[in-house]
Amino acid sequence: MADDQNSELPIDDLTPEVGAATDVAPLGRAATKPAHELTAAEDSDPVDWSRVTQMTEFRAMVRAKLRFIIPATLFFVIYYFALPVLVGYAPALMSKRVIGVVNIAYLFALSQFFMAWIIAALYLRAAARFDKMEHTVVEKAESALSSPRGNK
Amino acid sequence: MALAMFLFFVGVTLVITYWAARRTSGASAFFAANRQIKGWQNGFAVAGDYMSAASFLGIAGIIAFQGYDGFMYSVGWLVAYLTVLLIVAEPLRNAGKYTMADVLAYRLSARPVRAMASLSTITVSIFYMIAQMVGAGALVALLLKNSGISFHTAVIGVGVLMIVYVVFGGMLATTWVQIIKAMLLMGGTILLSILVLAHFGFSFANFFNAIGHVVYHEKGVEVVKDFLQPGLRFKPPYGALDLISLAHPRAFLYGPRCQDRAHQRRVGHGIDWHVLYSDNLSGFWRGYDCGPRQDRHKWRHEHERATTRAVSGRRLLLCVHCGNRLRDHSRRGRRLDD
Repeated sequence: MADDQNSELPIDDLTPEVGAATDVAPLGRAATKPAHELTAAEDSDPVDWSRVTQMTEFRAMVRAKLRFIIPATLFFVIYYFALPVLVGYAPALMSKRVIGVVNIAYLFALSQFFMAWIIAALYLRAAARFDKMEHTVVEKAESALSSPRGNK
Repeated sequence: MALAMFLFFVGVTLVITYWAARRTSGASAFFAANRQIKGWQNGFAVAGDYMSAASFLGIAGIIAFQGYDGFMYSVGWLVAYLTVLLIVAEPLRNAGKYTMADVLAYRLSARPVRAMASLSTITVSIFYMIAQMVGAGALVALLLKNSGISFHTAVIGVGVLMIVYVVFGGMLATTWVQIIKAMLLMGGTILLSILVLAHFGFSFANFFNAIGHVVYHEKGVEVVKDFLQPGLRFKPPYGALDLISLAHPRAFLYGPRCQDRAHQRRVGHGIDWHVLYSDNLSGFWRGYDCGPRQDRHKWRHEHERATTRAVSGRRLLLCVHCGNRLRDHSRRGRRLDD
Protein backbone atom coordinates (compact mmCIF):
# COMPACT_ATOMS: atom_id res chain seq x y z
CA MET A 1 0.00 0.00 0.00
CA ALA A 2 2.84 2.36 0.63
CA ASP A 3 5.36 1.67 -2.07
CA ASP A 4 3.95 4.42 -4.27
CA GLN A 5 5.15 7.17 -1.95
CA ASN A 6 8.72 7.53 -3.07
CA SER A 7 9.92 10.80 -1.71
CA GLU A 8 13.03 12.79 -1.19
CA LEU A 9 14.22 14.07 2.15
CA PRO A 10 15.34 17.64 2.67
CA ILE A 11 19.09 17.54 3.05
CA ASP A 12 19.76 20.81 4.79
CA ASP A 13 20.39 19.39 8.25
CA LEU A 14 21.29 15.76 7.88
CA THR A 15 23.88 14.04 9.96
CA PRO A 16 26.04 11.99 7.64
CA GLU A 17 25.79 8.67 9.41
CA VAL A 18 22.21 8.80 10.63
CA GLY A 19 20.82 10.43 7.55
CA ALA A 20 18.51 12.31 9.85
CA ALA A 21 18.15 15.72 11.42
CA THR A 22 20.48 16.60 14.25
CA ASP A 23 18.73 14.96 17.14
CA VAL A 24 19.07 17.36 20.00
CA ALA A 25 16.72 16.19 22.71
CA PRO A 26 13.79 18.59 23.06
CA LEU A 27 12.69 19.87 26.47
CA GLY A 28 9.50 18.50 27.90
CA ARG A 29 7.49 15.55 26.70
CA ALA A 30 5.32 17.17 24.06
CA ALA A 31 7.78 16.61 21.22
CA THR A 32 8.74 13.19 19.93
CA LYS A 33 11.89 11.58 21.19
CA PRO A 34 15.04 11.70 19.09
CA ALA A 35 16.30 8.36 17.82
CA HIS A 36 19.05 7.99 20.37
CA GLU A 37 16.64 8.23 23.29
CA LEU A 38 14.28 5.49 22.19
CA THR A 39 13.79 2.41 24.33
CA ALA A 40 13.58 -1.08 22.87
CA ALA A 41 9.78 -1.03 23.18
CA GLU A 42 9.46 2.21 21.22
CA ASP A 43 11.98 1.27 18.61
CA SER A 44 10.82 -0.75 15.67
CA ASP A 45 13.36 -1.95 13.24
CA PRO A 46 12.99 -3.78 9.96
CA VAL A 47 16.14 -5.77 10.69
CA ASP A 48 15.55 -9.04 12.46
CA TRP A 49 18.21 -8.76 15.14
CA SER A 50 17.61 -12.15 16.67
CA ARG A 51 18.51 -13.62 13.30
CA VAL A 52 21.56 -11.37 13.02
CA THR A 53 22.85 -12.70 16.33
CA GLN A 54 22.79 -16.20 14.86
CA MET A 55 24.99 -15.23 11.92
CA THR A 56 28.46 -16.76 11.88
CA GLU A 57 29.99 -13.39 10.93
CA PHE A 58 28.31 -11.70 13.89
CA ARG A 59 29.46 -14.39 16.30
CA ALA A 60 32.99 -14.18 14.91
CA MET A 61 32.94 -10.41 15.49
CA VAL A 62 31.79 -10.72 19.10
CA ARG A 63 34.44 -13.38 19.71
CA ALA A 64 37.15 -11.21 18.14
CA LYS A 65 36.13 -8.29 20.37
CA LEU A 66 36.22 -10.36 23.53
CA ARG A 67 39.54 -11.87 22.49
CA PHE A 68 41.01 -8.39 22.46
CA ILE A 69 39.15 -6.68 25.31
CA ILE A 70 39.52 -9.34 28.02
CA PRO A 71 43.29 -9.94 27.77
CA ALA A 72 43.99 -6.23 27.31
CA THR A 73 41.90 -5.33 30.36
CA LEU A 74 43.43 -8.06 32.49
CA PHE A 75 46.91 -7.02 31.45
CA PHE A 76 46.57 -3.34 32.19
CA VAL A 77 44.79 -3.89 35.50
CA ILE A 78 47.49 -6.29 36.72
CA TYR A 79 50.31 -4.13 35.38
CA TYR A 80 48.88 -1.02 36.99
CA PHE A 81 48.13 -2.55 40.39
CA ALA A 82 51.57 -4.12 40.45
CA LEU A 83 52.95 -0.60 40.89
CA PRO A 84 51.32 0.37 44.21
CA VAL A 85 51.55 -3.20 45.53
CA LEU A 86 55.27 -3.51 44.79
CA VAL A 87 56.07 0.01 45.97
CA GLY A 88 54.11 -0.67 49.14
CA TYR A 89 55.27 -4.21 49.98
CA ALA A 90 58.68 -4.50 48.29
CA PRO A 91 60.23 -1.08 48.91
CA ALA A 92 63.75 -2.48 49.01
CA LEU A 93 63.44 -3.95 45.52
CA MET A 94 61.75 -0.89 44.10
CA SER A 95 64.28 1.60 45.45
CA LYS A 96 67.20 -0.25 43.89
CA ARG A 97 69.07 2.19 41.69
CA VAL A 98 69.53 1.24 38.06
CA ILE A 99 70.92 4.21 36.15
CA GLY A 100 72.56 6.80 38.39
CA VAL A 101 69.99 7.81 40.98
CA VAL A 102 67.09 6.55 38.85
CA ASN A 103 65.52 3.55 40.57
CA ILE A 104 63.25 0.69 39.51
CA ALA A 105 60.18 2.37 41.01
CA TYR A 106 60.68 5.42 38.80
CA LEU A 107 61.20 3.39 35.64
CA PHE A 108 58.20 1.20 36.44
CA ALA A 109 55.94 4.23 36.93
CA LEU A 110 57.28 5.78 33.73
CA SER A 111 56.66 2.54 31.83
CA GLN A 112 52.95 2.80 32.75
CA PHE A 113 52.67 5.72 30.35
CA PHE A 114 54.12 3.69 27.50
CA MET A 115 51.95 0.73 28.46
CA ALA A 116 48.83 2.92 28.24
CA TRP A 117 49.87 4.41 24.90
CA ILE A 118 50.69 1.03 23.41
CA ILE A 119 47.39 -0.52 24.52
CA ALA A 120 45.53 2.50 23.18
CA ALA A 121 47.33 2.23 19.84
CA LEU A 122 46.62 -1.50 19.68
CA TYR A 123 42.98 -0.78 20.40
CA LEU A 124 42.82 1.76 17.57
CA ARG A 125 44.11 -0.90 15.20
CA ALA A 126 41.77 -3.54 16.58
CA ALA A 127 38.80 -1.16 16.37
CA ALA A 128 39.48 -0.64 12.68
CA ARG A 129 39.38 -4.43 12.29
CA PHE A 130 36.11 -4.63 14.27
CA ASP A 131 34.63 -1.96 12.01
CA LYS A 132 35.45 -4.04 8.96
CA MET A 133 33.82 -7.09 10.53
CA GLU A 134 30.77 -5.03 11.43
CA HIS A 135 30.63 -3.86 7.86
CA THR A 136 30.43 -7.47 6.69
CA VAL A 137 27.65 -8.23 9.16
CA VAL A 138 25.71 -5.12 8.13
CA GLU A 139 26.08 -5.93 4.43
CA LYS A 140 24.77 -9.40 5.02
CA ALA A 141 21.86 -8.25 7.18
CA GLU A 142 20.98 -5.68 4.53
CA SER A 143 20.99 -8.20 1.71
CA ALA A 144 18.72 -10.44 3.79
CA LEU A 145 16.44 -7.46 4.26
CA SER A 146 16.13 -6.55 0.59
CA SER A 147 15.22 -10.13 -0.28
CA PRO A 148 11.47 -10.75 -0.78
CA ARG A 149 11.13 -12.09 2.73
CA GLY A 150 12.29 -8.91 4.37
CA ASN A 151 10.13 -6.49 2.38
CA LYS A 152 6.97 -7.05 4.21
CA MET B 1 51.37 43.34 34.35
CA ALA B 2 49.48 40.34 35.70
CA LEU B 3 46.23 42.27 35.51
CA ALA B 4 46.91 43.33 31.92
CA MET B 5 47.64 39.74 30.86
CA PHE B 6 44.56 38.48 32.65
CA LEU B 7 42.34 41.09 31.01
CA PHE B 8 43.91 40.30 27.64
CA PHE B 9 42.91 36.64 27.84
CA VAL B 10 39.45 37.47 29.14
CA GLY B 11 39.09 39.89 26.22
CA VAL B 12 40.21 37.30 23.66
CA THR B 13 37.81 34.67 24.98
CA LEU B 14 34.94 37.17 25.05
CA VAL B 15 35.64 38.11 21.43
CA ILE B 16 35.45 34.41 20.54
CA THR B 17 32.19 34.14 22.44
CA TYR B 18 30.80 37.13 20.57
CA TRP B 19 31.93 35.67 17.24
CA ALA B 20 30.40 32.30 18.11
CA ALA B 21 27.16 33.84 19.38
CA ARG B 22 26.66 35.58 16.05
CA ARG B 23 27.02 32.29 14.23
CA THR B 24 24.87 30.28 16.60
CA SER B 25 21.19 29.95 15.96
CA GLY B 26 19.02 26.99 16.76
CA ALA B 27 19.45 23.99 19.00
CA SER B 28 21.80 22.08 16.73
CA ALA B 29 24.16 25.02 16.54
CA PHE B 30 24.03 25.67 20.26
CA PHE B 31 24.51 22.11 21.49
CA ALA B 32 26.53 20.59 18.69
CA ALA B 33 28.22 23.59 17.00
CA ASN B 34 26.32 22.62 13.84
CA ARG B 35 28.57 19.56 13.67
CA GLN B 36 31.22 21.73 12.10
CA ILE B 37 33.96 20.85 14.56
CA LYS B 38 36.70 18.87 12.89
CA GLY B 39 38.47 15.90 14.42
CA TRP B 40 41.68 17.71 15.32
CA GLN B 41 39.77 20.63 16.81
CA ASN B 42 37.71 18.34 18.97
CA GLY B 43 40.87 16.51 20.00
CA PHE B 44 42.39 19.78 21.21
CA ALA B 45 39.15 20.69 22.97
CA VAL B 46 38.96 17.34 24.76
CA ALA B 47 42.60 17.74 25.78
CA GLY B 48 41.77 21.26 27.04
CA ASP B 49 38.83 19.93 29.00
CA TYR B 50 41.02 17.37 30.63
CA MET B 51 43.95 19.59 31.54
CA SER B 52 42.23 21.24 34.42
CA ALA B 53 43.58 22.72 37.60
CA ALA B 54 43.90 19.22 39.06
CA SER B 55 46.29 17.87 36.46
CA PHE B 56 48.09 21.12 35.94
CA LEU B 57 48.54 22.56 39.39
CA GLY B 58 47.62 19.69 41.69
CA ILE B 59 49.89 17.06 40.14
CA ALA B 60 52.73 19.53 39.67
CA GLY B 61 52.38 20.55 43.31
CA ILE B 62 52.27 17.07 44.74
CA ILE B 63 55.33 16.04 42.71
CA ALA B 64 57.17 19.16 43.82
CA PHE B 65 56.51 18.49 47.51
CA GLN B 66 56.33 14.71 47.68
CA GLY B 67 58.50 13.58 44.81
CA TYR B 68 58.00 10.03 43.64
CA ASP B 69 54.71 9.46 45.48
CA GLY B 70 53.19 12.35 43.58
CA PHE B 71 54.51 11.02 40.30
CA MET B 72 52.99 7.64 41.06
CA TYR B 73 49.70 9.30 41.90
CA SER B 74 49.63 10.91 38.46
CA VAL B 75 50.00 7.55 36.71
CA GLY B 76 46.51 6.50 37.79
CA TRP B 77 44.91 9.35 35.86
CA LEU B 78 46.34 7.98 32.67
CA VAL B 79 45.58 4.33 33.28
CA ALA B 80 41.98 5.22 34.20
CA TYR B 81 41.48 6.10 30.57
CA LEU B 82 42.17 2.55 29.54
CA THR B 83 39.27 1.53 31.76
CA VAL B 84 37.09 4.07 30.05
CA LEU B 85 38.33 3.04 26.63
CA LEU B 86 38.08 -0.72 26.93
CA ILE B 87 35.20 -1.22 29.36
CA VAL B 88 32.93 1.76 28.77
CA ALA B 89 33.61 3.26 25.36
CA GLU B 90 34.14 0.05 23.41
CA PRO B 91 30.66 -1.41 24.06
CA LEU B 92 29.08 2.02 23.53
CA ARG B 93 30.84 2.52 20.24
CA ASN B 94 28.57 2.12 17.24
CA ALA B 95 25.55 1.72 19.49
CA GLY B 96 23.88 4.73 17.88
CA LYS B 97 23.52 6.36 21.29
CA TYR B 98 25.08 9.41 22.87
CA THR B 99 25.29 8.57 26.53
CA MET B 100 25.47 5.61 28.85
CA ALA B 101 21.95 6.45 29.99
CA ASP B 102 20.73 6.17 26.38
CA VAL B 103 22.18 2.66 26.17
CA LEU B 104 20.89 1.52 29.56
CA ALA B 105 17.45 3.03 28.94
CA TYR B 106 17.12 1.05 25.72
CA ARG B 107 16.74 -2.29 27.46
CA LEU B 108 16.04 -1.37 31.06
CA SER B 109 13.24 0.61 32.57
CA ALA B 110 13.80 4.03 31.07
CA ARG B 111 12.52 6.39 33.77
CA PRO B 112 14.58 5.11 36.73
CA VAL B 113 17.67 4.89 34.52
CA ARG B 114 17.25 8.48 33.35
CA ALA B 115 16.52 9.68 36.87
CA MET B 116 19.61 8.00 38.31
CA ALA B 117 21.78 9.20 35.44
CA SER B 118 20.60 12.79 35.92
CA LEU B 119 21.01 12.61 39.67
CA SER B 120 24.53 11.21 39.54
CA THR B 121 25.53 13.67 36.82
CA ILE B 122 24.31 16.62 38.88
CA THR B 123 25.88 15.30 42.08
CA VAL B 124 29.28 14.69 40.48
CA SER B 125 29.16 17.98 38.59
CA ILE B 126 28.37 20.02 41.70
CA PHE B 127 31.22 18.58 43.75
CA TYR B 128 33.56 18.77 40.80
CA MET B 129 32.56 22.35 40.16
CA ILE B 130 33.01 23.44 43.78
CA ALA B 131 36.62 22.24 43.72
CA GLN B 132 37.21 23.87 40.35
CA MET B 133 35.72 27.17 41.44
CA VAL B 134 37.75 27.24 44.64
CA GLY B 135 40.88 26.48 42.61
CA ALA B 136 40.11 29.11 40.01
CA GLY B 137 39.25 31.66 42.66
CA ALA B 138 42.43 31.01 44.63
CA LEU B 139 44.48 31.24 41.46
CA VAL B 140 42.94 34.50 40.28
CA ALA B 141 43.18 36.02 43.75
CA LEU B 142 46.86 35.04 43.86
CA LEU B 143 47.61 36.37 40.38
CA LEU B 144 45.79 39.65 40.92
CA LYS B 145 46.78 40.14 44.57
CA ASN B 146 48.17 43.60 43.89
CA SER B 147 44.96 44.75 42.25
CA GLY B 148 43.06 44.19 45.47
CA ILE B 149 40.75 41.45 44.20
CA SER B 150 39.56 39.23 47.02
CA PHE B 151 38.94 35.49 46.85
CA HIS B 152 35.16 35.89 46.85
CA THR B 153 35.20 38.44 44.05
CA ALA B 154 37.45 36.12 42.05
CA VAL B 155 35.11 33.12 42.47
CA ILE B 156 32.07 35.15 41.45
CA GLY B 157 33.93 36.74 38.55
CA VAL B 158 35.14 33.40 37.20
CA GLY B 159 31.66 31.92 37.58
CA VAL B 160 30.02 34.79 35.70
CA LEU B 161 32.60 34.51 32.92
CA MET B 162 31.97 30.78 32.51
CA ILE B 163 28.21 31.33 32.34
CA VAL B 164 28.71 34.02 29.69
CA TYR B 165 30.89 31.71 27.57
CA VAL B 166 28.40 28.87 27.65
CA VAL B 167 25.10 30.76 27.51
CA PHE B 168 26.05 33.12 24.71
CA GLY B 169 28.62 31.14 22.79
CA GLY B 170 27.22 27.63 23.03
CA MET B 171 29.33 24.68 22.00
CA LEU B 172 31.23 26.63 19.33
CA ALA B 173 32.63 29.15 21.82
CA THR B 174 33.42 26.61 24.53
CA THR B 175 35.20 24.42 22.00
CA TRP B 176 37.41 27.27 20.81
CA VAL B 177 38.07 28.49 24.31
CA GLN B 178 39.20 24.96 25.19
CA ILE B 179 41.37 24.72 22.07
CA ILE B 180 43.15 27.94 23.02
CA LYS B 181 43.49 26.78 26.60
CA ALA B 182 44.99 23.45 25.52
CA MET B 183 47.49 25.18 23.26
CA LEU B 184 48.48 27.68 25.97
CA LEU B 185 48.87 24.99 28.63
CA MET B 186 50.89 22.69 26.41
CA GLY B 187 53.00 25.56 25.10
CA GLY B 188 53.63 26.66 28.68
CA THR B 189 54.59 23.16 29.79
CA ILE B 190 56.97 22.62 26.89
CA LEU B 191 58.57 26.01 27.53
CA LEU B 192 58.93 25.24 31.25
CA SER B 193 60.44 21.83 30.50
CA ILE B 194 63.01 23.40 28.18
CA LEU B 195 63.85 26.09 30.75
CA VAL B 196 64.29 23.50 33.51
CA LEU B 197 66.51 21.37 31.29
CA ALA B 198 68.48 24.47 30.31
CA HIS B 199 69.03 25.17 33.99
CA PHE B 200 70.73 21.76 34.21
CA GLY B 201 72.71 22.29 31.01
CA PHE B 202 70.39 19.98 29.04
CA SER B 203 71.80 17.01 30.91
CA PHE B 204 69.38 14.38 32.21
CA ALA B 205 72.12 13.08 34.50
CA ASN B 206 72.44 16.45 36.24
CA PHE B 207 68.68 16.79 36.36
CA PHE B 208 68.10 13.43 38.04
CA ASN B 209 71.06 13.95 40.37
CA ALA B 210 69.44 17.15 41.58
CA ILE B 211 66.14 15.34 42.20
CA GLY B 212 68.04 12.63 44.07
CA HIS B 213 69.63 15.17 46.40
CA VAL B 214 67.05 17.77 47.26
CA VAL B 215 68.24 20.06 50.03
CA TYR B 216 65.72 21.92 52.11
CA HIS B 217 65.17 23.15 55.62
CA GLU B 218 62.91 21.36 58.03
CA LYS B 219 62.44 23.16 61.36
CA GLY B 220 65.64 25.03 60.79
CA VAL B 221 67.68 21.89 60.11
CA GLU B 222 69.16 21.22 56.69
CA VAL B 223 67.82 17.96 55.23
CA VAL B 224 68.86 16.12 52.07
CA LYS B 225 66.21 13.87 50.56
CA ASP B 226 66.00 11.64 47.53
CA PHE B 227 62.83 12.68 45.72
CA LEU B 228 63.05 9.61 43.50
CA GLN B 229 62.52 7.29 46.46
CA PRO B 230 58.97 6.24 47.26
CA GLY B 231 57.56 6.81 50.70
CA LEU B 232 57.84 10.57 51.18
CA ARG B 233 54.11 10.78 51.54
CA PHE B 234 52.85 7.24 52.03
CA LYS B 235 54.87 5.87 54.94
CA PRO B 236 54.77 2.49 56.66
CA PRO B 237 52.94 0.74 58.20
CA TYR B 238 49.87 1.77 56.22
CA GLY B 239 51.64 3.28 53.23
CA ALA B 240 51.04 0.30 50.98
CA LEU B 241 47.35 0.15 51.78
CA ASP B 242 47.04 3.88 51.23
CA LEU B 243 48.56 3.49 47.81
CA ILE B 244 46.30 0.64 46.78
CA SER B 245 43.15 2.28 48.10
CA LEU B 246 44.11 5.42 46.22
CA ALA B 247 44.89 3.47 43.08
CA HIS B 248 41.62 1.59 43.06
CA PRO B 249 39.13 4.42 42.62
CA ARG B 250 41.38 6.14 40.17
CA ALA B 251 41.59 3.13 37.93
CA PHE B 252 37.95 2.09 38.11
CA LEU B 253 35.69 4.78 39.38
CA TYR B 254 37.02 7.77 37.53
CA GLY B 255 33.80 8.74 35.85
CA PRO B 256 33.75 8.54 32.12
CA ARG B 257 32.09 11.58 30.74
CA CYS B 258 30.38 10.82 27.51
CA GLN B 259 29.79 14.39 26.88
CA ASP B 260 28.42 16.51 24.09
CA ARG B 261 31.81 16.65 22.47
CA ALA B 262 31.27 13.25 20.96
CA HIS B 263 28.51 14.35 18.68
CA GLN B 264 29.74 17.57 17.19
CA ARG B 265 32.09 16.00 14.81
CA ARG B 266 31.28 16.41 11.21
CA VAL B 267 32.00 13.13 9.51
CA GLY B 268 31.52 9.59 10.62
CA HIS B 269 35.15 8.72 10.74
CA GLY B 270 36.20 11.88 12.52
CA ILE B 271 35.90 10.19 15.88
CA ASP B 272 38.94 8.05 15.39
CA TRP B 273 40.91 11.13 14.46
CA HIS B 274 40.06 13.11 17.48
CA VAL B 275 40.75 10.08 19.63
CA LEU B 276 44.16 10.01 18.07
CA TYR B 277 44.74 13.74 18.44
CA SER B 278 43.56 13.80 21.98
CA ASP B 279 45.82 10.87 22.79
CA ASN B 280 48.82 12.47 21.20
CA LEU B 281 48.17 15.80 22.80
CA SER B 282 47.49 15.04 26.38
CA GLY B 283 48.14 11.35 26.66
CA PHE B 284 44.71 10.93 28.12
CA TRP B 285 41.57 9.24 26.99
CA ARG B 286 38.17 10.41 27.67
CA GLY B 287 34.75 8.91 27.13
CA TYR B 288 34.72 10.27 23.66
CA ASP B 289 34.08 7.14 21.74
CA CYS B 290 30.41 6.90 22.42
CA GLY B 291 29.06 9.17 19.72
CA PRO B 292 26.08 8.16 17.68
CA ARG B 293 26.69 5.80 14.88
CA GLN B 294 23.63 4.43 13.30
CA ASP B 295 25.91 1.91 11.89
CA ARG B 296 23.71 0.55 9.25
CA HIS B 297 24.04 3.88 7.52
CA LYS B 298 27.64 4.52 8.26
CA TRP B 299 29.00 2.88 5.21
CA ARG B 300 26.99 4.82 2.70
CA HIS B 301 26.74 8.45 3.42
CA GLU B 302 24.35 9.35 0.64
CA HIS B 303 21.16 7.99 2.06
CA GLU B 304 19.07 11.03 1.52
CA ARG B 305 16.56 9.31 -0.73
CA ALA B 306 13.94 7.34 1.07
CA THR B 307 10.68 5.63 0.55
CA THR B 308 7.85 4.81 2.88
CA ARG B 309 6.82 1.26 3.38
CA ALA B 310 4.48 -0.44 5.72
CA VAL B 311 6.49 -2.58 8.08
CA SER B 312 4.53 -4.63 10.58
CA GLY B 313 1.55 -2.37 10.32
CA ARG B 314 3.43 0.91 10.71
CA ARG B 315 4.47 3.31 8.04
CA LEU B 316 8.16 3.91 8.18
CA LEU B 317 10.66 5.75 6.07
CA LEU B 318 13.16 3.37 4.61
CA CYS B 319 16.30 3.97 2.67
CA VAL B 320 15.95 3.08 -0.99
CA HIS B 321 19.42 1.58 -1.10
CA CYS B 322 19.39 -0.76 1.82
CA GLY B 323 15.83 -0.77 3.06
CA ASN B 324 16.81 0.39 6.52
CA ARG B 325 14.80 2.88 8.41
CA LEU B 326 15.66 6.55 8.48
CA ARG B 327 14.62 6.90 12.04
CA ASP B 328 14.11 10.53 12.73
CA HIS B 329 11.99 11.54 9.84
CA SER B 330 9.16 9.22 10.54
CA ARG B 331 9.05 10.30 14.18
CA ARG B 332 9.28 14.00 13.69
CA GLY B 333 6.54 13.92 11.13
CA ARG B 334 8.68 16.09 8.98
CA ARG B 335 7.04 17.32 5.82
CA LEU B 336 8.63 15.58 2.88
CA ASP B 337 8.89 17.19 -0.52
CA ASP B 338 8.12 15.13 -3.56
